[in-house]
Amino acid sequence: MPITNGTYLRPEHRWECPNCDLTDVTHEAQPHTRMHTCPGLKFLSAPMVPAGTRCKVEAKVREDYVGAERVATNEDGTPVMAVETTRDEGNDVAVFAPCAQVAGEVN
Amino acid sequence: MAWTDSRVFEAWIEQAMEVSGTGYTGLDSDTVKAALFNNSVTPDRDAAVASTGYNTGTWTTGNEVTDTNWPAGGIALSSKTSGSVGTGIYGFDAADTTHASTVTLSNVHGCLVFDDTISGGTVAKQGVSFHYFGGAQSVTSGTFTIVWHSDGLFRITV
Repeated sequence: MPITNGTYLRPEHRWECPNCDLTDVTHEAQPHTRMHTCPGLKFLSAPMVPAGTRCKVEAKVREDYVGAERVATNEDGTPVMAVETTRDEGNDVAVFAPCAQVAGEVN
Repeated sequence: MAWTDSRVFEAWIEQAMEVSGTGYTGLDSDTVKAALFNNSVTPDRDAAVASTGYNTGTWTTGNEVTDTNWPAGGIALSSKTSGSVGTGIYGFDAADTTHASTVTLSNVHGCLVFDDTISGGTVAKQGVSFHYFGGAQSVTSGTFTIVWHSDGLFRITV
């Protein structure tokens, strides 16, 4: 006999940011990262971490010159290449891929 | 000369204008992937088309950085958008790219974005663009996420 009554379990993920006061809850079943604009990291787009995670989240300044591409910068205009989350058992990196630019010409 | 910046392949612009016998149906509908590479590659926006595809030219699997959960051949972009983003500006964008479970990756310097649907005519898995991350990135038992710029993967201004 088919089961007609059941309980649908909605996934719940609680997030927090160690550099600002933001907290959030998401219900996405697939692997995902909750990004936010972080005032504690000079308004960079940074990942939140699962609530209760013992970690530090730091911005990594770009280690090379900027070419013709558009790069992520903090509020001071400093190019930032990634945000790294360091945990007891490993680390996570959210790398900021630059936008490549193509310029057309009309003569 | 290793990574220096992020560019669209000139050969890609040609392909988009001349499409024939490649299997290409559009960036918005084709499977487009991002594969990770170390600093042994020498990205060249003017490379011959035959050297712009995944596992051709400098983009060989020998220079690729992989993990079980970020396999050779890369990860497909999702939620792609393609079209006008302003007066005289075309933009191509996608949702941030990440993976299932955890990865351990070392010495990742950038990525190749390629059209996995293109099977021939120009070059299979033809490269669209390459993006330099600005330095070496490493992850241990964690998450690696490519956060695409707020202006997208690339823009064309006419």
